[in-house]
Amino acid sequence: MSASTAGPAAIDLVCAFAVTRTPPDPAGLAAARGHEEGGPLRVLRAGGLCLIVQDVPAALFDESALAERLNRPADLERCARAHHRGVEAAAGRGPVVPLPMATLYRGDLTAARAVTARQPVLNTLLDRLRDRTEWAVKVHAAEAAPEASGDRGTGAATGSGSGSGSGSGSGGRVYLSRVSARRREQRGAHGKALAEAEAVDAALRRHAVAATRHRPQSERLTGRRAPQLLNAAYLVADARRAEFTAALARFTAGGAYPAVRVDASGPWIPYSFARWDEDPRADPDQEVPS
Amino acid sequence: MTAPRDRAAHALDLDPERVTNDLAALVLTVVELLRQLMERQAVRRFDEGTLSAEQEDRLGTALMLLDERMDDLCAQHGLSRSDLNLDLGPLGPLLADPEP
Repeated sequence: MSASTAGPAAIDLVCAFAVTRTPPDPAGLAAARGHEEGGPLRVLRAGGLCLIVQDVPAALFDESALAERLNRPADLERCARAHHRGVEAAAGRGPVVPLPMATLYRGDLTAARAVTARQPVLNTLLDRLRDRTEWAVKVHAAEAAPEASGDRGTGAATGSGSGSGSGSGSGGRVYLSRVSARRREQRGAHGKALAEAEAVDAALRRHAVAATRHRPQSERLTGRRAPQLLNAAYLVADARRAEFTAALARFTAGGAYPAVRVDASGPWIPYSFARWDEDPRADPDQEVPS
Repeated sequence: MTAPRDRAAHALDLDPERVTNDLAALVLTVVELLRQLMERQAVRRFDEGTLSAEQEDRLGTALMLLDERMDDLCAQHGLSRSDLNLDLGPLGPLLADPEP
């Protein structure tokens, strides 16, 4: 920490948060805080675009230091929050392309050059994200199907009782048929939940400009007993937000699809649709045909 | 010379209790994987009806005892069946249907 205050000018890196067309409100930018270890947020002009950046000490943000810090969950969260603050400060006046977390450059010159080199892609993205927000939707299988868990509980008790009690008897066959029935039930329940998750996705896509799927999160990460079936993001036009959220509310309230549980959050800055290292036009799969 | 030693201490957690428990969890995960594979195979043949009544009974009894033994072992090590799994990233979990 003392090293970074001793000579920050000589060893700073430039951390970039987002690209916009119009510079953000200076007062808002000054009030926002990016990474706690870095300097104030500022605007860097690059071609016709604005890049929102912050000087950060290289001692904490060079490749090895950053990798080590991002491996610690607490530091990762702090870094993600700082990044989001920077992106939020950039938004507010027209469309914004959020950059991946910890996008770092050696100096203003290389940062500006990176933006200028990607100007056509960034312009396409800015057009695409204008007046649109992202909604995150996660669909889990409904927890503990009552038949399955009940059957296992009572079945196991009676099965083991008759099996070990009589010594031989048909305990083994009872056990096998019970396992067989349980497996059939699980397969059926899983298939049903999967079909319902697909139906939710299909219904939401009808109200969205674009949709993308992320890899479902593991149960360890979600802290749920039920598997995550769908981890999707939808890009929704402001003009159609009301109809999208109305459709979403029907699913999150439950009832329409009893085999799944739907959770949603939004509106977000469209992180999932702002991949500036890919040409958005070269990815027609994402676009929902209307 | 102290710096590298500090780093090593951070990288390796050599608390004996924890190492033993982690090893037990790993061994039990492998055993549970094999148990589930055997059970699956037995159920498949049971469903197909290719087992004699006596085979069904013997196989079922063996699997049932193994299942009970797994519960005991898990309880001994303070684990639940759902702890016995590995997240294989894009491949999903190692054990497809962990029992609660």
